[in-house]
Amino acid sequence: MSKFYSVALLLCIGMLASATGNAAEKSFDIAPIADLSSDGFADVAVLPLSEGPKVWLYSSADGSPLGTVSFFARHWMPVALAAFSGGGGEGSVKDSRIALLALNNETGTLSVQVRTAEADGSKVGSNIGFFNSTYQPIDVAVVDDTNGDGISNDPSIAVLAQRYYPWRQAVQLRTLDGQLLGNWTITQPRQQLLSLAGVSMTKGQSRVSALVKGKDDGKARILSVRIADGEALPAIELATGWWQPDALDLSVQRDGDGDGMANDPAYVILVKNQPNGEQSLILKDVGSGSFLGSRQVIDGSWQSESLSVAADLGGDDKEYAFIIASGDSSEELLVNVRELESGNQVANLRPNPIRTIADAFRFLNQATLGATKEEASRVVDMGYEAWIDEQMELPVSLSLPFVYAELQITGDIERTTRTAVWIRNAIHGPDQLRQRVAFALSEIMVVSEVGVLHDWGLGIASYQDMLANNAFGNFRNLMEDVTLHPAMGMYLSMLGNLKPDPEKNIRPDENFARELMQLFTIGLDELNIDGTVKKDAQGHGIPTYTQDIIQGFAHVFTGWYYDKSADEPYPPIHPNNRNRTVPMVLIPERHDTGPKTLLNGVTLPARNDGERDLKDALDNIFQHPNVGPFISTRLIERLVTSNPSPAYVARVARVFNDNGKGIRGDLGAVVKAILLDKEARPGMFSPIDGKLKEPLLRLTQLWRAYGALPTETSNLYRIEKMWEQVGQGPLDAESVFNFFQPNYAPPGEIRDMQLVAPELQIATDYLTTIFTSYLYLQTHDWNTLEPEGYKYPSKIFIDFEEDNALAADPDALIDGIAERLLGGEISATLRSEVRKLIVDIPAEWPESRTSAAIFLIASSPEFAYQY
Amino acid sequence: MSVINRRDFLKAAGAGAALGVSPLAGFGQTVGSAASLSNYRALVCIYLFGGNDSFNMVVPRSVAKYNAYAASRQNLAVPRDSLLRITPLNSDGVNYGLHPALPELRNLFRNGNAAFINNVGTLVQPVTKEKYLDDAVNIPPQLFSHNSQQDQWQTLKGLAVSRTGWGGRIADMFRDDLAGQRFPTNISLHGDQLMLTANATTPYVMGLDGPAKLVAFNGTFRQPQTYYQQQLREAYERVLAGSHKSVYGRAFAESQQRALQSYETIRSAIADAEPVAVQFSSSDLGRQLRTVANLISAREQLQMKRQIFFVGAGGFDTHDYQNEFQPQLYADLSKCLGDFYLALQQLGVADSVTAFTQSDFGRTLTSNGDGTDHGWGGIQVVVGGAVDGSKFFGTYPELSMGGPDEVSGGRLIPTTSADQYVATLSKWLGVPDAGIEQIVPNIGNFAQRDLGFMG
Repeated sequence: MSKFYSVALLLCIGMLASATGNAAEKSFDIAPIADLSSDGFADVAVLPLSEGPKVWLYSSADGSPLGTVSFFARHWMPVALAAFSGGGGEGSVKDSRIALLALNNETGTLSVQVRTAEADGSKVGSNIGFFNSTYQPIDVAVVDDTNGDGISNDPSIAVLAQRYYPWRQAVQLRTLDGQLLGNWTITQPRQQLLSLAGVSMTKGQSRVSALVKGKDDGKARILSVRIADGEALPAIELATGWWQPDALDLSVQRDGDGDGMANDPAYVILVKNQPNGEQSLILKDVGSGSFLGSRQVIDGSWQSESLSVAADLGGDDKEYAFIIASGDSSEELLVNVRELESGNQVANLRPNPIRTIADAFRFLNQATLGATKEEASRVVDMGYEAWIDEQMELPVSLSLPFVYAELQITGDIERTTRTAVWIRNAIHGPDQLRQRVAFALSEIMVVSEVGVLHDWGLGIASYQDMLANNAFGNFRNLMEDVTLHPAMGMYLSMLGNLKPDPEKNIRPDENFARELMQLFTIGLDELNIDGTVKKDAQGHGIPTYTQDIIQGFAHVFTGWYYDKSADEPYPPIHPNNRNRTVPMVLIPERHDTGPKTLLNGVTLPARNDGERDLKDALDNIFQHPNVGPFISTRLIERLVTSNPSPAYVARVARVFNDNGKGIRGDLGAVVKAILLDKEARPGMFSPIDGKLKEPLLRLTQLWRAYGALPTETSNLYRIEKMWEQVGQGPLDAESVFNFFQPNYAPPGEIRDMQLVAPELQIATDYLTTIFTSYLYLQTHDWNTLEPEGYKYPSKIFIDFEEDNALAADPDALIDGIAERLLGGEISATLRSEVRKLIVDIPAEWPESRTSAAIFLIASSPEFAYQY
Repeated sequence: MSVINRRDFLKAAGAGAALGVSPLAGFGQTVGSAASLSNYRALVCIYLFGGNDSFNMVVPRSVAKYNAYAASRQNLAVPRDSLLRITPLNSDGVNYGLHPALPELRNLFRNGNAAFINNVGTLVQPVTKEKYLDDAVNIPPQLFSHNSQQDQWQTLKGLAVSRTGWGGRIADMFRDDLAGQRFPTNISLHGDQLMLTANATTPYVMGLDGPAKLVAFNGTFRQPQTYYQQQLREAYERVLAGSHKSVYGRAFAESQQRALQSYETIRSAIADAEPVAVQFSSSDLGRQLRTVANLISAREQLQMKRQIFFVGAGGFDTHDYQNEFQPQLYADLSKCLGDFYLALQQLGVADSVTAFTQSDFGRTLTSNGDGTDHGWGGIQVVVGGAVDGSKFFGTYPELSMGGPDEVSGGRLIPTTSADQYVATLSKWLGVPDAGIEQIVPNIGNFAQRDLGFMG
């Protein structure tokens, strides 16, 4: 089946003026294979296109996993698969082979690799190269009877591909040992290539057939080339007239009339019907193109991805259609098997994705403050969704009670203590998903100890707890808790905001009103559901609000102040008031009682009811259609990727708008949709997937990987002036615009492709130098439990003992560290550089070898990004 | 990607600089000997983050004008008798004074080394109040939003989309002329800034006190670099130079490589240069300007001919406690400007270096109780020996509510554009007349390209 555009290839050859994100239109390809499970029925091979060059095998009896087959190296990007007989006889799927077409991400070359269709299947023959690196691969197919003598003893492999300049669409056909049998141009003006099938026919009529779609007329048709003489055969229209279903995939039924003779093949085309989205099969005679019938197969709640027809299953001579479909989530997979003649369903399976430790590790780098190999094993056992459900039930790891208790004893600087408790929760808090989401929220609804809150450690700890408490709650509650938190009140000057005094030209303060809308909820421009900016007739964005509306909200937010009932100081030492940790309260006589202009043409009436004004105003923002796409985009950027496709944003925004139970703003459902989305779960398949990890997250991951402990007995993870030592501290951004801005694009290929990479904004010469130095000290001089450690500004210790035990064997040491820090996936370059470095260090100094290896891996680019 | 070459505008026939492998290759700096910009000149942008309430910086003292000001500003008005008198040489008939916390700036102005640019702000084209209220004219998108207007000041993009800053475009334009420089033309001491972002060159980012210490590879504290650290560094450099599959990994590796490549150059140049003797204030701004002065002192070691520095001062977003904070902000700004000019004089480059302010926007004339909100036009200050000082440029606005430039609670429509301001500075730095539009794309919408404050 066809494949999404190869971003890597396009980048290599520079054919794309602007990348449009990595919207993978297809997620899966399917092929029936030999009956591995011995239940009398063919099993299936599934290619999860977004998870690297690896095929999952399932029993078609119950969908149970039968193992995986890995092809190529990880930097190959899978495109499509096909299965064929390994010689078991006519049309047989016994003893079958899988042919996988893939693109080398580094060189742009295309190859097919053949392996036996069994768990950990072995390689058959050499890789078969097709075309050259200027071609974009579309699909692969097998022709069982290449010469058309009626005996399937001469299989060949066909690849469909296209080149942008000069424009060419073509099929190449090669024998299993790579000999070129044909190289045929099938270019038609302005057509999109969808899929390729091989058709075995008697009397030398075997052919390769491509399913294509005209870009102008939107019509799907089949273009064929006869293998024997390379003759282009007349095109077959999928449908005539106004009814034009979306064609998805093409396969072939050998015996169109069901008489047991494979001399009258039929095309089987998988289509999606609009508007109800039902998916069905259309059967057309290969020779004449005449319509033979259709079969309804899958309802509109699933998206069919791929189709493959196989015969001779269990020796009943019948032919079956295998269809694979996906849901919105990467966890949702449907395999539907139908008897082709009758259309009867024989199996409808919901197999589970087969995941590795490396897959789980990548998931955990999105869902926690740092993946660990121990947690990754649990995720493999549990599955992603069950793990998320478990996490959401865990109690909240709080900051404030510990900061308060500690300050009572030490009277230390609030900021240092507050940060130390944050670090402890980051490393050891069991509620990792909550802590990660709270961290994301702290970078969206920003308050910071830089500036007016410089001595507000208790208030910020309370704000952090408020975010953690709301992480899986409703966004509307979060909005209100943020609005009324005194730390936010002080930071954006709503605290003490007064009603107008016209005689003195005094207007309400607009600061919070503006940033609440611009940064926390709806943004500057009206958005589509997929997060793209709506444009007016002149092509300009449409502002979400005017100055009048800002002023309206500024009037709403008048009259709020510290809760005086909480005015007592924190005893016995600390001077600051508890009122920095409890919601602000309304002082009615300070609240403006006039009418107030809000969004969407709403005006609040004149009244003296500040609490109702506030609730109505927050409701007014909450109901704005921008909130879903705006917050979904921000959270996807913080958790998963800098450049989500519009389709990904739309899928998540719809969950924000309605969690399936009619509730708007369910953040738990939104977080789940973000992490389980098929776009969140790719392997290393596209260079624009994922994002850079900010320094703080790199550090928490390192600490968590080694279960870091404090060097002091106090159980506090102190780093004095963390922003100076590390370059970043939690809730310590430069301004309400966070450490970096969402639209930041570093010069070079990222900007040239019109992509963004917010975290790169703080990868400056200065901050990278600071961070590299800190990593060095954390893995060398400062990493000590010895008494001199007390003098160092960082009091966090990571225990290398387990690694030290491996250090005598450099490769074992590298493997051990790579498992902890990289989920076991380490590049050849990094491995060889680490090896060269540590073999130079005498084996009698295991700690030195370990320090060097951990430093080099933790400071490497591959540790610096997640995908 | 097109890189504008200054020589294209000068129509000079000079040979192109020889490209070679350089420690600066990562910054897009070319290596060669041609340098038609042979004298030294530098711009120092002092960015006042948050939006400076500059109508308290320069205040009319004439009674009627002062009364209008005080009526608008109410409890935020600076008392008339506390103002520091200034007498612009090009008087508009009104007496003016500076905020009492600005004594050093007053002296700079008096001595002819500072000028004020009045009611300057982001514009696409000239705007009248009538047209603004009728929506009958193009204005920069998202007025009153911090980041949008910071971007506007730094890119001057108007209605277009731009991801380069005007300082970055100058560095690109000068690239071939400055091929002998051993360090990037543009340096920020305040993080990555759009103003310095370019297509072909990369600004260098350092901290308040200069580059960070590269402890990992260059010896910890007082210890010298060890053999081990040398090996570690070489291994790290090879890891960075490897191929990386992710665009984020590649960009990360590039930034690390740039930081490593330039490290010794800049550290040794600063170490070799005479440090300035002036005692700067220990504020963030003071530390940055001291570092800039030391970098200027190292200009010959680095063979610099043109430089643009970016320093930043925060805290100007005075929504709250303005009467408490603004005097502190101004006292620091004033002392820093005075110290910096003194340092320039000691270095003998007072005529070659021009410092100037930018800020998100001016602020509302009216109060929100104890502070002000986001406005539009404001006043900027330019300091240096080459400045046509003791003068006002641009019209000082009416500060009364309902005045000809006033809209929406005391926000002032700018009567001079940021484009004109930057075009004047760019010209002084050496951008040819014909190349100004490459730096300031909308300058053609304004009649006067050179405001004259650079003589």
